[in-house]
Amino acid sequence: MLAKVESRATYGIKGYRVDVEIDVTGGTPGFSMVGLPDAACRESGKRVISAIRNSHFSFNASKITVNLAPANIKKEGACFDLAIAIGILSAKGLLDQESLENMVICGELSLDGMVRPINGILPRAISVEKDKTFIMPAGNINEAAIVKGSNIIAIHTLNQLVSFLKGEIELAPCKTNIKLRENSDAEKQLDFSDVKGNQHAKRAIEIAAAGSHNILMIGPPGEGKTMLAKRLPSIMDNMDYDEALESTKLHSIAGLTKNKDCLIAQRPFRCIHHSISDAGMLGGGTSLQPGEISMAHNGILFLDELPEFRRNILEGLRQPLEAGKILITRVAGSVEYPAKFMLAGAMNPCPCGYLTHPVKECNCTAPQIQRYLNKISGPLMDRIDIQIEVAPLKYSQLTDKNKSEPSSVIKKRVIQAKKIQKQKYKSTGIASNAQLTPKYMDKFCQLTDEATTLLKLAITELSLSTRAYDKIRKVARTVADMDAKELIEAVHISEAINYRSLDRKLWLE
Amino acid sequence: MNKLGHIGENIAVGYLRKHGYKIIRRNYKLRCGEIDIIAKEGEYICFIEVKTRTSAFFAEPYESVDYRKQKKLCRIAETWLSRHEPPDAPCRFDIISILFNRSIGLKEINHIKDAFGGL
Repeated sequence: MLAKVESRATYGIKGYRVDVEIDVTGGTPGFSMVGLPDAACRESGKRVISAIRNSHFSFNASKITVNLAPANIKKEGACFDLAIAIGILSAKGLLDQESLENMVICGELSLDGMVRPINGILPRAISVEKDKTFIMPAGNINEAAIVKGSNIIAIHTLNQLVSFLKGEIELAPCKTNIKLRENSDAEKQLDFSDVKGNQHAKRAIEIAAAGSHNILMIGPPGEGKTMLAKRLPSIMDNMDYDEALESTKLHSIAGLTKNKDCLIAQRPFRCIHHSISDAGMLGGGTSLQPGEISMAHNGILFLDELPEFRRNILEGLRQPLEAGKILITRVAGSVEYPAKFMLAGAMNPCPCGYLTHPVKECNCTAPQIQRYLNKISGPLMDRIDIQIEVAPLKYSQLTDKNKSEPSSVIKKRVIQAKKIQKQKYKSTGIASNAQLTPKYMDKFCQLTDEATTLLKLAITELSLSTRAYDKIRKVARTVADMDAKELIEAVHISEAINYRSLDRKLWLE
Repeated sequence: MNKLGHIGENIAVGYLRKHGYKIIRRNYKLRCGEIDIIAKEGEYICFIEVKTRTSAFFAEPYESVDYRKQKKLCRIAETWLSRHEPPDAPCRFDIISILFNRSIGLKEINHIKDAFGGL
């Protein structure tokens, strides 16, 4: 007998339809699977047969052939277990084929017949048509419940599903539940009020957050670069529904959403060690998984000790930084993942770290310093709008009992500035000042006469490049937005010039 | 011919007859090997491998039907099916595991139905 069950698989961040066809015949008993299954997928035969037997269905020897159509795309993982089990039972005549009409079934089986949660439920749930019923593991319910207007049934065991399909029991469809995930306590504890002094750096970070500008902090070790960066998420605005849905999809594919509730509302913050591989950073591997830059989509990618990263990894960031997405092409196929992230970096000015220190001697030679800084190429530096120095604190600042400004206050200002940008760029497809293209620059970055004079002076006196000219205008736009000013004024320009430490080369001589 | 194996096969045939099996063929031999008993139970054609030991001290008799042996039996069964039955006839592989000792006779008989099948 032949049975057909509809299921779903993922490709990139999209779900697509997979028809699971099962033919049960006589002949020498055996289980064979076609349709490019990977190892985990091929093993599903053993899981399924054990699960069927342990769910007390009679199962006698027969020849089983399973086809996963379309047969030319590689199938991964154990997500077809449940569909195959239902198909076998249907082909054996234990279930009506009619009861499988308009049902889409996904889930992994354990040997005792329990249904286990799987990765990538969200893209699958989105791809299910509204007139169909999506049957999926109960362990994934929080994630699938995000999808609006879908008909979703959560299943605990194979037995339960069979009774449901036979009409013996009623299962209510899950209610849509778009609750945003609360920040964990550990995340809440990080607050800017813990950071003493460093007003200049704090202000720069605030502006970076408000305009989604890439930021690089340079300074001697132990002066709070990492501490500052780790507090970035606490001042970022929350994502809107569409952004959150896209980020949650990526997390779903990477399997980071299990047993957690609902939408990821807070912008992701990915702190990455410099030993990371190409595939880890950009995405890839045999199964074309999203990399860290995609996990940081709509959020922050923090690279501590920037010059320690291998050069090809840093250079690999250039295109995604520009395009906001990455196309991964391998033998297995090509997948596009979104990667619109804000880059935050931290580095020392020289190998020993004390070049900019007011007191400590730096014992690096000039070529050493040059070599160290050359690890970050010009084109990459070009994409970093804000470069600041983090200076050591004075003793009086260290022992200051007064708490600094808390994150919640800064966050309010950031949200305000973001709101202004959103309104301004409504019809342009630009999300923030950092993404301004030359085409829009002249329209949105208009300067007062005083500011024009100052910028002209700065360009000629400090011999700043053309690219620096554009960056200064972009950053000044954000500073003006923080002040809620339509035109960019001289104060905004002068502050923006301050954030070009490397262009000014004040400490490089 | 191995004497103990022969005794075991006779015991197995008796056991099967008693349980309502119809014996179709004994010692079906091909160049690559042989199937001890081919029998029919209801609609099922059963290919039966009989294993006999004097003691289970080292291992149970059925444990010696390993993956290689199973593959071999599958191949022979397919040949037999193609010559004698429609290709989609339902069939299965059984193992009859026998402990036999000359001094006390039959000690234990263990019939494993649907013992393997390419799963």
